[in-house]
Amino acid sequence: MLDQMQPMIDTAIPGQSLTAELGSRPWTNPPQYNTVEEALDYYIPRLQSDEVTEQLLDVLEMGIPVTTIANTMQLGAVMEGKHTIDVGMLVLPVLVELIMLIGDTAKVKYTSGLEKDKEMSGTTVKLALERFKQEQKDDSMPEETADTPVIAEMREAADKRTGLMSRS
Amino acid sequence: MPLTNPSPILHQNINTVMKMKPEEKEVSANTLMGPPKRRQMNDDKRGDPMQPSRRIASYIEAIRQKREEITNA
Repeated sequence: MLDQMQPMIDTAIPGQSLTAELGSRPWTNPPQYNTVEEALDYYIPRLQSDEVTEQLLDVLEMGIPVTTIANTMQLGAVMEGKHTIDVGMLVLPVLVELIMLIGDTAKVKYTSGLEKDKEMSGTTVKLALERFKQEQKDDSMPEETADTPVIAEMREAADKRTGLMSRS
Repeated sequence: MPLTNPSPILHQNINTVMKMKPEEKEVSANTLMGPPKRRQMNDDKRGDPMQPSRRIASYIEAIRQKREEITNA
């Protein structure tokens, strides 16, 4: 709710696309590759080249997720006017798999970025809260300790039944 | 929050498409008792192997096979 009320300042302002001459930007021109197959024909040879593969493996070893790399590649190509965003979205899963294939071939440990978020589930939080309450309870309970000599004497004195009403 | 990286969602969608393989149905004759022609055409479209999602699923399947070969070798 709070997110919806905040102004979105990281998006384009209305009319921003009209601030440059039509056709002066690559993405305002018709794309170079129109289909997924054409786009893949552009990506696959690039990914297979030694130079790109080395750089890619370096980035994978640094721990950058595969999904992030694929998305960056795809966005860059859209900006260069290679293909449209629609084709980019379709190509994205194939790129992810391709990068993972390159990583597996080179036996590099990588982060795919497809792992489920390790968020704490409701039950985990509940369990932790219950344990915390139990621990608090245990701390507040007085511990049974051995009587000190004074208390022992007082108990003994109380136990000695004296007086008229005491039983003999 | 704007979506910055749609890759995980797209990957999940493609996985779903891969799970939903089209069943091979008997082609019913267009008789009076058969399904209406329009519905028949829609069903054909959904299972069309030339649909972009199906095409991509087939590419991903091929790449995954290769990956499995590499990891199992």
